[in-house]
Amino acid sequence: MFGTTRREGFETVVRAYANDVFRYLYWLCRDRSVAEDLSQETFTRAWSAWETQRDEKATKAWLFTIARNEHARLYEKKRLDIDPDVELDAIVSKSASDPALGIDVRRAFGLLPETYREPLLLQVLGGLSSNEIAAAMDSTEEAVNMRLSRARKALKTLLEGKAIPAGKEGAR
Amino acid sequence: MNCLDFRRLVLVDPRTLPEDARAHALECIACRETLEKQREADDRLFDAMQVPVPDGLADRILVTRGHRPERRRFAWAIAATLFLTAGVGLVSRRYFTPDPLGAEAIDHVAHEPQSFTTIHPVGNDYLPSVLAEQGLKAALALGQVTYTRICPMDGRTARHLVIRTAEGPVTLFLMPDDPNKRRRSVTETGGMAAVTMPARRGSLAIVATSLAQAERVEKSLIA
Repeated sequence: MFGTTRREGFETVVRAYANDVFRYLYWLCRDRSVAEDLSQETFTRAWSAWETQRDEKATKAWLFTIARNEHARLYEKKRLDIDPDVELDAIVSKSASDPALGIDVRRAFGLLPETYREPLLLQVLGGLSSNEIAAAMDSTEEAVNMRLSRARKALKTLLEGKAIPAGKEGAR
Repeated sequence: MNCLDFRRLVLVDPRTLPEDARAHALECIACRETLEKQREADDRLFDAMQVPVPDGLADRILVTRGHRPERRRFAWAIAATLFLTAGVGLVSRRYFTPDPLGAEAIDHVAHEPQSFTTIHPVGNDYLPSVLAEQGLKAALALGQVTYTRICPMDGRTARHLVIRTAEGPVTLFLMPDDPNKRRRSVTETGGMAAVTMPARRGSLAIVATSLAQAERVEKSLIA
């Protein structure tokens, strides 16, 4: 996969996906140092299971699934204290075409319920299909599509300065 | 497909619509506007998700796993880019079959005609900054960027740009995270030409109405 040797293939994948895996984990835990540790763990597990991954096209979805599991494993050990505003305020995107707008969108995205935020993250940041998101989240494609649809509506509502209507949050 | 079904699909995934939905968007102005607005919202969201990554993250992961970071590939990518920009790429075109990415890029442009009619104003530093993500810079002023989108390409995410050059619009697909080892490749189909090529980081595709026009843009991009 990706190279002539296992080692080369792994290096190609690390260089291609480490940034996206870090960003995905950051948005799950909102802590940069925890996200970096979890990124290390994700690739450690990926290396251990390298021979089981045959489909080159599915590598990114596979990595995101491992990352998600690593994050869940950490939460089983301890409950992290999250203050979303602290890091969100401190971060300035290097790539956002409109930084002021970028911060607003970040805040709104951070305010989304986790059940909305995660599939949207996997789709928009990870480029995963609904089917791949369903597999990663141990859910169904229909449930994922419903959450994606509601997530976009909720985000629009938040960006327009309104609260998300009660009872509209999706269940796991 | 009716408008209600179309809008439901747009809320699920505005980037990868089925063929019948894309056909509906071409016929229905209101739905096309809805699609455009949702894609803009998704682009802003994508940019907002790009939190800075710790410096040297990939190297640290590789060192932890006992890998010695490989530099030869970067050197090769730079050498390949310089080689190609010198215009010797004609040789590879003769001996290799086209990279499928070229056909996908042309097909994408053909299915997104609004990319040539919509104006998304961006700052003068936008093009240098997105090229720099791939270790590239433009040796000459290419022109004004009039369209920017985050689009699916070869199962990944690409920045879709339209640049108004002196010879007309040229489309760029920038894929900094493309892990494939690509070579330079030329595809000509449907009255358009695409040059796909490796960059220092990832790959890119240049689509224009003629190969000469695409190659002029290619030659102006240097590592």
